[in-house]
Amino acid sequence: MFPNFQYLQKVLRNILLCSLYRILGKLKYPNKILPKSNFKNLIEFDSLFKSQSVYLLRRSDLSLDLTFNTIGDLYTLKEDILSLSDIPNMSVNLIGGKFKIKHAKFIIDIKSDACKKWDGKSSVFLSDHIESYSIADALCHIFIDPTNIHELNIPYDKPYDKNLENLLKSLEIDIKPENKKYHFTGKIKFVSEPANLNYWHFELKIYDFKNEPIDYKSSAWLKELCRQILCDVVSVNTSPLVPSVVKIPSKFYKK
Amino acid sequence: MISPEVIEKSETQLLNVPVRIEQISLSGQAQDLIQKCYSSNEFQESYWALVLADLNDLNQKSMKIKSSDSSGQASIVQETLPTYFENNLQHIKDSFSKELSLKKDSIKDSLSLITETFDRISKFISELNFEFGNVEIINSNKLKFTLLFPGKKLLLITKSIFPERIDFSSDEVIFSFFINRKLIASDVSEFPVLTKGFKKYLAM
Repeated sequence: MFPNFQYLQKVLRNILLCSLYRILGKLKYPNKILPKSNFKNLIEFDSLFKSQSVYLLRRSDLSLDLTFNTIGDLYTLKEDILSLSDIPNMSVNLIGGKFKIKHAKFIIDIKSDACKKWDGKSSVFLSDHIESYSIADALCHIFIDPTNIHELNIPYDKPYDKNLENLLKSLEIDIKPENKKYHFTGKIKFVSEPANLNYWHFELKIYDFKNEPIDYKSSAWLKELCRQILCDVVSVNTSPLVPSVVKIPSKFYKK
Repeated sequence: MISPEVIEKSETQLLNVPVRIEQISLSGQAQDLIQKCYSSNEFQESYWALVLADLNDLNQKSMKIKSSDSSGQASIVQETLPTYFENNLQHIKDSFSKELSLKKDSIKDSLSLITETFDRISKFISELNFEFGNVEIINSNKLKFTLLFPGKKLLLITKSIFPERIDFSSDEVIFSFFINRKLIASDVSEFPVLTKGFKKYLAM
């Protein structure tokens, strides 16, 4: 009973403090985009993506003409908009659920606990994080259509080495080296990465043939190739306009 | 001897029709061609390098000289460049100038290298029959060409200014080709090979 009492006390404290902060104008962050105890650990993007059209959103602090190229009647994202640290593991927000376009103005401090991955079970109390975000209107919205991105295959090479050969044998993967190189296929995927202050946070990652996030620390060539392909694919599949946002049914995020 | 005056005069004649000269050597045929171009009867072998350099400098717009044959036996190949070549080149030059003026403060240190790389690759790219083209300078170390072709075909070519830092050769680029925003192919290729192959593909 004692832990439950403590929890109740914390819930009440959070409600009271948040109400007070909101009255004083010190709190504007939307409670509705926080993870809830009745939410699933992760949103299964594969099944959501297969069942309906979805869009992901990023903000830009630059104007439309400095964010997008206009090529004929086509928009492509300027690559400078994506910083080196964005690729891979590019942060995006899933819209169609509780996260609305207007929420893009809230920027979570990446060094704070608010930005850390939600543990999938704890309640998050907004009153603990009132100093962990800032507000700035986005000068331009970047809408990402995942149709041509999610599950996209990326070919990449790895030089032959004995350890890799042994690993492939153990995994019963029948790939033979050609000219002392193995030719593999990686995959680009959108993955649910709920943060303490944003349940709708996703990341764009590249997975290797073992279905693990790709490790290209040893090769500048491989890093550049993977990075560039990802940038190109994202750049071509973004727009400052979104045709219509289809509502995400609660079965995809509620337990 | 070839005087600068003669070069200047001959260049005008030469630029009447865009031409590409490949594998020029010091064979009799090559000498004939150079003499014809420069209206000079005093062409000497020792000026070959000078002539090549001048042709490259003076004919950025319409002439591509690939190499001379060290054996001196290669034949001369002239090829008329496509009629859209100069328009395309101007189109991407305009886009490049706009990008330069936008980023002039951030690219001060690498400006000459960026311009040199653009000059080298833009002539090849202009041989592709695109509808719209765009040039981006990325993080002061890359040039990105985005070319839109009929049928919603999009070719993205990215060239590093410092290829050696990423284990690329000096001519290697990364390209991604899309139809209706869907990635069809992406790889590393040398840009002369890429543009030649892509030209063939577009003609199919």
